Amino acid sequence: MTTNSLTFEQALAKLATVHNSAERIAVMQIVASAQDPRGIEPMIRALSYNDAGLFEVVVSGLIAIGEPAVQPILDCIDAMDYGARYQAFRALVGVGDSRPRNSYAHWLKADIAPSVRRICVKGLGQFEDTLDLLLEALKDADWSVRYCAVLVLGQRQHQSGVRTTLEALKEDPERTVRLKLAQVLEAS
Amino acid sequence: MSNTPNTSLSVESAVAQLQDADISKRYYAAWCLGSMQDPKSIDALVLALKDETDRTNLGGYPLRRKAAEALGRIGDRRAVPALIQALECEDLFLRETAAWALSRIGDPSASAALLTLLASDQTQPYEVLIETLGDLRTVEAVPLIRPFLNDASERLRCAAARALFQLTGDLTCIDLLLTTLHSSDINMRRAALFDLAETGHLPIVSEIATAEVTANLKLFALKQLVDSAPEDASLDSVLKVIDDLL
Repeated sequence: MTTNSLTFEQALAKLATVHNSAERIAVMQIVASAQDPRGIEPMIRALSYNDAGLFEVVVSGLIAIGEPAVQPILDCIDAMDYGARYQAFRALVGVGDSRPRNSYAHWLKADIAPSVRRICVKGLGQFEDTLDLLLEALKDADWSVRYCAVLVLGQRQHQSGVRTTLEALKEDPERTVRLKLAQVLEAS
Repeated sequence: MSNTPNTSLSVESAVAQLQDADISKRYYAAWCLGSMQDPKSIDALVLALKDETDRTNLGGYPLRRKAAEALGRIGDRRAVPALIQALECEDLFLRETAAWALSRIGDPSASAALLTLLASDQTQPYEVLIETLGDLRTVEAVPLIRPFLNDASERLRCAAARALFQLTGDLTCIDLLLTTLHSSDINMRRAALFDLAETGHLPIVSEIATAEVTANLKLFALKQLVDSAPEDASLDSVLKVIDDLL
């Protein structure tokens, strides 16, 4: 039987025995496209496989399942390595649920990986009452996190203090951040 | 868990530790100073760059290499004469690290010594030499670099293409890098991605956007492209690609 003709149940069972990346992606594709909550657990596990192609399938699969996937992801996220955590947060941001708010706030401060801190900025951008946290992200040591915060805060220049704080960032050491800032300030 | 060493050493104590009798403590101190990047440590690191005592059986100088790296990270011009002198050492890896450090510092006064090295008969750290001469815009290096476009190593061909574009603006060099960006070897794609970014040639932004590499690498490459682009260039197209990646 070819991989493509597997049923959801067969694909779930097969995940335990696949050994190469291409086959795993093909089987996971079947699991992911079923939007069946039984796929949540194996998809979360796949976030630690360090396989870029697999990540795309799994993240969109989890987003497609949506709300039922949120709590299972949150239950695992603190124990993940930062690579897996980044992918897990991508899925959570994609779902757009309110439950990850504290997790975004925590890992924005705690994670050593800029990619995780960036996705937390994006996640926090989905909440109205996160201005202080986003302003704090403008001070991040990594340019890409500051850039992401500028991008998100650019939409909030009507809120008090935002524009002044953004203007104070004009001296950012990185040209890329300065250019984005100028663009955002000019657009408003 | 962090990139910076978890140390209680202050700059002052690390500087003092560079004189410790224990060679592993001296090495660790040089490593710490490279991560703290405090210009106050330059004199001590320049001294460590001349160390003769920490030497491997194969003739390598670990402490000198680490000191050269730290000086490159700090990026202060005062280290240039000592680094130029280190280019004459018989330790190939010290010559490589010193050339890398000189490229980080970006002082054109190193060009002549780097040219001499590239022209010598001895085996050299060619990749770093070529990249550094390109970054320093040493136009005299063009005839010495051109033969590397036909080198057996794809990595060296790419380094040569990047430098020659920086020095001459020859667009066929960009084509060569774009070919490697589509290589089946991820390491080659990755290296070509950053070579392209270093050219500062903005029309390649769409090629970076669609390259078969992770979003994280693209992001770093796009920042490098911005940093390498001419000062008056309009970079909105690059910012747009960055925004879409985030």
